[in-house]
Amino acid sequence: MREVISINVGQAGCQIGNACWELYTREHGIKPDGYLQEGLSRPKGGEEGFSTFFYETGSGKYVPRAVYVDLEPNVIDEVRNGAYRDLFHPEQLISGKEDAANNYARGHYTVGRELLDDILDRIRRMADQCDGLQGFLFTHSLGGGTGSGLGSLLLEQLSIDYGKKSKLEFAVYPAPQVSTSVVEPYNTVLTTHTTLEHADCTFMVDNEAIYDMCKRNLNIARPSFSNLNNMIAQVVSSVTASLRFDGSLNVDLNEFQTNLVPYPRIHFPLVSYAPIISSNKAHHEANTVSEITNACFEPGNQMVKCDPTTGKYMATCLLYRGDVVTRDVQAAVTQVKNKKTVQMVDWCPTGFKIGICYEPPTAIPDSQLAQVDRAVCMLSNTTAIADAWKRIDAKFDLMYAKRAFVHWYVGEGMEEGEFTEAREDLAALERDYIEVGSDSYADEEF
Amino acid sequence: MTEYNIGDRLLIDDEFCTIRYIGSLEVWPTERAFGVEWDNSSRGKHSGTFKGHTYFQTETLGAGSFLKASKVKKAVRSSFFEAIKNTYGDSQDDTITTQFSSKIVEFVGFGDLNERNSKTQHLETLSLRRKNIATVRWLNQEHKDPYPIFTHLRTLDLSYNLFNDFGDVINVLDSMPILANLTLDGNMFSFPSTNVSPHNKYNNIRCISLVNCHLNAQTLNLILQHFPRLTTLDISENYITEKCLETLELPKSLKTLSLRSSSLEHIPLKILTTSIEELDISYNNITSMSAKDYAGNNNLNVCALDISHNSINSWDVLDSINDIFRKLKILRVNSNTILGDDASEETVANGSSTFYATMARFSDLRVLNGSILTAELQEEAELFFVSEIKKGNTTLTVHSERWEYYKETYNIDQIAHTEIRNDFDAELGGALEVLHLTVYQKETDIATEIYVQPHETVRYMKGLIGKQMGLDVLSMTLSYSPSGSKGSIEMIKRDFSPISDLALECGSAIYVTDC
Repeated sequence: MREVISINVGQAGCQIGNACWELYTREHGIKPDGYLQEGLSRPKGGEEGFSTFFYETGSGKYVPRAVYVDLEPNVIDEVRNGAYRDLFHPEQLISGKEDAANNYARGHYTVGRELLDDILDRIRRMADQCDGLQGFLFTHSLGGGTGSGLGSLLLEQLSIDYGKKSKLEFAVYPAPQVSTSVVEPYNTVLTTHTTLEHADCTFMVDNEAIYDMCKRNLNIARPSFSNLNNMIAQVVSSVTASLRFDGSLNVDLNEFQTNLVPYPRIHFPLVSYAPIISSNKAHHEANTVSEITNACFEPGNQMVKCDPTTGKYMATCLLYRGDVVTRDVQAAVTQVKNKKTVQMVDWCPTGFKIGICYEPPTAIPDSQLAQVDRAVCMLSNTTAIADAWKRIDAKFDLMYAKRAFVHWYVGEGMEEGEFTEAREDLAALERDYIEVGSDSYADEEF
Repeated sequence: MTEYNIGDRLLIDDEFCTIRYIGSLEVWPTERAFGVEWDNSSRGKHSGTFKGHTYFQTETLGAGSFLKASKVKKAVRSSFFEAIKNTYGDSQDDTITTQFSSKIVEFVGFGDLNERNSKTQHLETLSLRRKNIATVRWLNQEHKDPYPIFTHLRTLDLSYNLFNDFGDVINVLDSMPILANLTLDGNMFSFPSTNVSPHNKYNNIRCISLVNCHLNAQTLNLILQHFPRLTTLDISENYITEKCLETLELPKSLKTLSLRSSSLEHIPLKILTTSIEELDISYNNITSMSAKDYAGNNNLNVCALDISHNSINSWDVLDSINDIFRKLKILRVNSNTILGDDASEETVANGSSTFYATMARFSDLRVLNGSILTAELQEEAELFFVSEIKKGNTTLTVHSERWEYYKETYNIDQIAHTEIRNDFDAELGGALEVLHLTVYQKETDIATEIYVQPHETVRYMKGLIGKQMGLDVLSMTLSYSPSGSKGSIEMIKRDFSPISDLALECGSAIYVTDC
């Protein structure tokens, strides 16, 4: 058994969690109340794969291996009263009474720390139910107070308590279009600094990129958070599909992770997903393997806004889902190969890894995404993603030069030195990316 | 290798065409000539008449041309089973290693995929889009294998192939006992079909897509009779007209119907049976709903409606949609004349006002133009809408359901709103009244003009005068001649009373003395 515990922190984390679990339950044939859909004797996805994300109770009900954490009760109350209220055990939903007020320091030091023991206790109990815990899957935002502060605190603590268990993150990168506070750059830089050592792999999701996709590809007039979250859920589901469905056809995510992360700090793969088409355009698009593969290399299908033509690829993984044939995949890769824009670093021996999951993706109703027979999710470690750090660092510098809003953090007991320390760490990260992207010339010079 | 018949379909240089004539042509004495009609009529050169001789007649004017047999022979035509074999079967070539610059591309699990795919009879999905399938029979005489049975097949995609005979498709369905989804987009079938009995029924098939198949009501009925239990039907891009819909016999079980890119001018209420829950009529020319179908349709169950990209130009249509489709939850109305183009939605204020106004016109929407709505947003939209009505910027159809609701909840009356507006104007106008006064200083005979509002105080007026004449407010006394007093002069004594207490008129004179 290779169980994975999902931990959803903060408003964004919990709402994405909701969208993800809705999708997972649909993909595995489970009703919102946790029981199997009519006509099924076992959940879809095979015993082993399925049990990584769900456990079965004595009454034949299936419960997600998930914990919801938020410092204020509103969002979690929606889960408690929503359509999926019976899916979760009340113990899995942890909410405080005082929110983090978009302040990393409140989430990390003052308010968050009070809730920490309780959360760790519940996670411990969930971990005790597992035969062989594989790791943790975090979803949180980088910009919010709870997501950044409490999220990084939990990651730190889990590193101590669970040693080498792998910790994957889905982190929502702040975007001006759907921004909730001005201090998002502070929170982002602070939380990235704290978690850089502790997370094994962080998949970033830029709200701006998702927003544009919803507007452009799905023709949604005014994308709401639910729209964005449904989209994110589809991507998360594609990445975790290989964990949730077993059988020899499905590759292990760990295998990919080894490939994707050449250095511990360089662990921010760029995620692309295709096809992103609305249901009433589905007929015009052929959605062949080569089309969706090519689309993955288009900036419009990336989850983070950056220009991959300016960077170099260290490793690329393509995860196909649904009805594909080997020949088409080979042809598609050859096509991509002929693109001049895809550049690889010279020091990495393997560049491309391709896997498949036989289960086709499922569309959430209302998400506007078309139900398709095949999809592909690309995880690529490219140096271009450093653009995202550059953008947020610039915003950080602009405010920090005047020490604007810093008093809110100091007031919660944080030291100003932590700001400088975090900023320096991020500057080092930017330099790391430049370094891995530069040619080594090992053979020519001594 | 194969013989061609009139009516056969071909794919030549990525364009579909139908053979209309086979024979000789004067200019090509040594070769056989094929007269074809292109699906894309701009690809054609004439209508079947060449050098004064009519060889065939195309259905669309100017869509015909002649091809040499050598060119036609290059066009690939395969059979259904060959296509499956070529696509899914025997891919033993996975030993070929692909390299990406100097790096080897690793394939994980593809050996198993090949193995799985090679057992074609056990596959659940077969995608055979654009595989040049012309027939189900083996084209090559060497193959004499019996028809396999596809025991697990649930989804079959045969779109954009070269089928000519619908009977072919029907025959292949016999070997697929649990098939549920069938896609036949972009095939042009000729009717009546020769080798099919109308009594063949396929009860398992739930979804059929027949996009862009050049169908009309008659041919559609011929197809639909085989599928009595359909729940989803997509007949978009067939340019179906309203007249055509009248004779169409839709299955009773139908839940989802798509009529995108048809030639509809009204919302087709007549064809909506009680079972239909989703209706897509985007990309039509709909301007209104036909009033005669209006009555008697009270039990519609449509909960998802897409009427985007139409020509609706009146809010009243939306109001009546809300009245008729009482269960409506999901709506798309973007890109209609009334709402402006999506492209011009750059100005956020303008864009959101139409969005809010649209939202507020419907009772119980969950999704509008793709955006998932929250309760807060809906409340906000209602308040915004009420304020717009009060301002007279928008109107709501009187006696529509929504009108009744707003009347009750927010106390709005369509007639009253004009009165409210008048009152408001009067109030506002009164507030903005300005007195224009002339001020004379007795000692120096200097005159000046000031503007004051009636609600301001005398002290304020003194301040103005003092500033203009260089006098001290505390040392000045004012007097004036009250209107209607025939020239008698009165002192202004109370400094902190409003100016409106005095009998001043526009143009009155004020006299200043500095003591």
